[in-house]
Amino acid sequence: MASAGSGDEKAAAAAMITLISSDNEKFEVTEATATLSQTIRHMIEDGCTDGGVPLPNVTSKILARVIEYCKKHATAAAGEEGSSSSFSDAAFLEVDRAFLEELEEFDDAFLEVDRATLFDLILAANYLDIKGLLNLTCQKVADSVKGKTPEQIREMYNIVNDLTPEEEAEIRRETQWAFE
Amino acid sequence: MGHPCAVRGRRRRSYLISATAEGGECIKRCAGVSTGHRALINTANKRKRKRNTPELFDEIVWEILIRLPVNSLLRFRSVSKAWRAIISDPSFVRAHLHFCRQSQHQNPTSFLITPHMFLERRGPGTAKGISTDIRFYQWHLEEDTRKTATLAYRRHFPAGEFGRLSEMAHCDGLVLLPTNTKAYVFNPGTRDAIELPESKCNALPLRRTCLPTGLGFDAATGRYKVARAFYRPSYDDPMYMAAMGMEVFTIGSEDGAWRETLEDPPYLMLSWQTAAHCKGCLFFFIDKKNCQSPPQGLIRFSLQDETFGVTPLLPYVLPQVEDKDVVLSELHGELCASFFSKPLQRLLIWTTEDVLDDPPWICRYMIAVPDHQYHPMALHGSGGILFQGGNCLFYYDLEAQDIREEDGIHEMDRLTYVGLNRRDKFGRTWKNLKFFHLISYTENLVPLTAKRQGLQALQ
Repeated sequence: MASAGSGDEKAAAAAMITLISSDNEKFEVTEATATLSQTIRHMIEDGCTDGGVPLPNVTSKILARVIEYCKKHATAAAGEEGSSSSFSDAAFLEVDRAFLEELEEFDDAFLEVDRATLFDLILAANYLDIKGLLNLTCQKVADSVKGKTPEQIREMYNIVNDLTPEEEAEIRRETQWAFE
Repeated sequence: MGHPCAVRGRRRRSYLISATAEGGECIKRCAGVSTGHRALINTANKRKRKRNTPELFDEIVWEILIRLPVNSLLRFRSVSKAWRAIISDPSFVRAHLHFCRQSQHQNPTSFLITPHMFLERRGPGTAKGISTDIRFYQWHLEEDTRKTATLAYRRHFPAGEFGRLSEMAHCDGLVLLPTNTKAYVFNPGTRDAIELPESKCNALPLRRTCLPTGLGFDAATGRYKVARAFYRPSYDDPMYMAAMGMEVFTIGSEDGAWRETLEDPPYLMLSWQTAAHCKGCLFFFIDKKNCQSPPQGLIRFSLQDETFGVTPLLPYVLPQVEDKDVVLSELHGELCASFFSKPLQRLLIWTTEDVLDDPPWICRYMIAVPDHQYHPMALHGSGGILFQGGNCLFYYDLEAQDIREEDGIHEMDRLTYVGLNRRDKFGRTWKNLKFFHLISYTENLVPLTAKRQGLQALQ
């Protein structure tokens, strides 16, 4: 699987795509890297990437990070897609363990960013429809909030509590144990 | 925070796809796109003003919340109206379940252990009863958590409420416990439980047997259903049970009652069995002793149309396997039948993708195990099978054809069982243990009753 992925990459090496950030910076990437984004993949399929792909709500700072992620994961992409749900694939999937470990280390380091950047990455991953990046970044946020109290969540993310005291009391009463 | 309506109108990615579908115009459209897109730009600008305390937007909230455990979600319903609306939304509940199922599918680490205990004998010569104290311990097979199981839910029924248990069944976080009196459905994640009403049709006195029962999902209605067979009265001989009917209980429905199906099972079903569930159907063994020329097959009950069929069971395997030696389960989305072959001294694991009238059974694995007490639990994405044998969970490496050397054996009687109160803090050992029931577990937020008002949880 992994070897097929790198083969694809070599074949697509000639095809370059230009991505244009909101602040008009241009990034040249290979098609294999760009197509980790389903959004861009669809545009390529429809043949409308000549002259570059404008991404009006991704800044150059975030786009550079997104591309860094995509480059690293492009070689693994074919393997990931193959392991969908079919019986034999999952059981006999040959994975290059060393490469996976390296990828994990890369992901951990990639996530060492402040909260605002993390959110920008989530927005970009959502907009560009990059499944792996969306999963990685959202899981990071999920892990950081799962043990918090509702009060802490409101404080962390500027959320106004618009529930009436009665409504709040009812939720607590229904599942008191979840608050302990 | 935005309004919950915005969340319902989700699957926002479609606007991008539809924009590109219009061919040549797509670049222009992508640059401006629709309102959903503009909202993103607006919020992006808004965010810039407040870099230090980022805001969450509904669609991101959704993506983050589906990755949270059920107890966090129950708590976060009190963050705001928008969060409460998302977490209560049935489409969110489904998306959350789907996510949990996917993770468990790729890397099965979440388990639920129920230790079943004998009661102390009341006197010499009296039979050992079974404890009515039902506990569910959550167990995560991660490196740092695999030595501890934590009590997720406990319900202590009054002594004598039931005397014997049938095997438990699990479907999407719900657990069915059929007994020789009543049947119960639990959602240990939300600490919800319901007691199913007694059958009005069954002619066999309670306590004598446990009726064949199963739990599964009907994709057509999006509801979980319990199906239970019952014995029809025989007027010639009250001791002889000649025919069976079937009743269905829909979980979360308003009426909360059993409903008899139009069709009857084509053969008598074996009592004391809990059906296997796969692809929207329940599978029951035939009561072959009380049938004339029964087929070599399983009775299949479709939860969607509530009709019956017969699914041939390993018809070409010789010598023919006896039903009592076969363990049925669902393995990686396929119907699985496993049995211990004495001539080969191997556990044979057969699966079939198609579960209807002509299933293409394939022998997937032959595994050397010492005796017949082993059955597969789950496939592991990294090329292994998890299976239970007695009080142990084994990780069998398919490539090495052996139990994995490091951390390949997990002994459930050696775990630290942590309870809800301080008394249990240091874990416990089980006296009078009968067996551990082990479930490959996915959490589910789905309520068991139309209004969340199950039995009161005992803490």
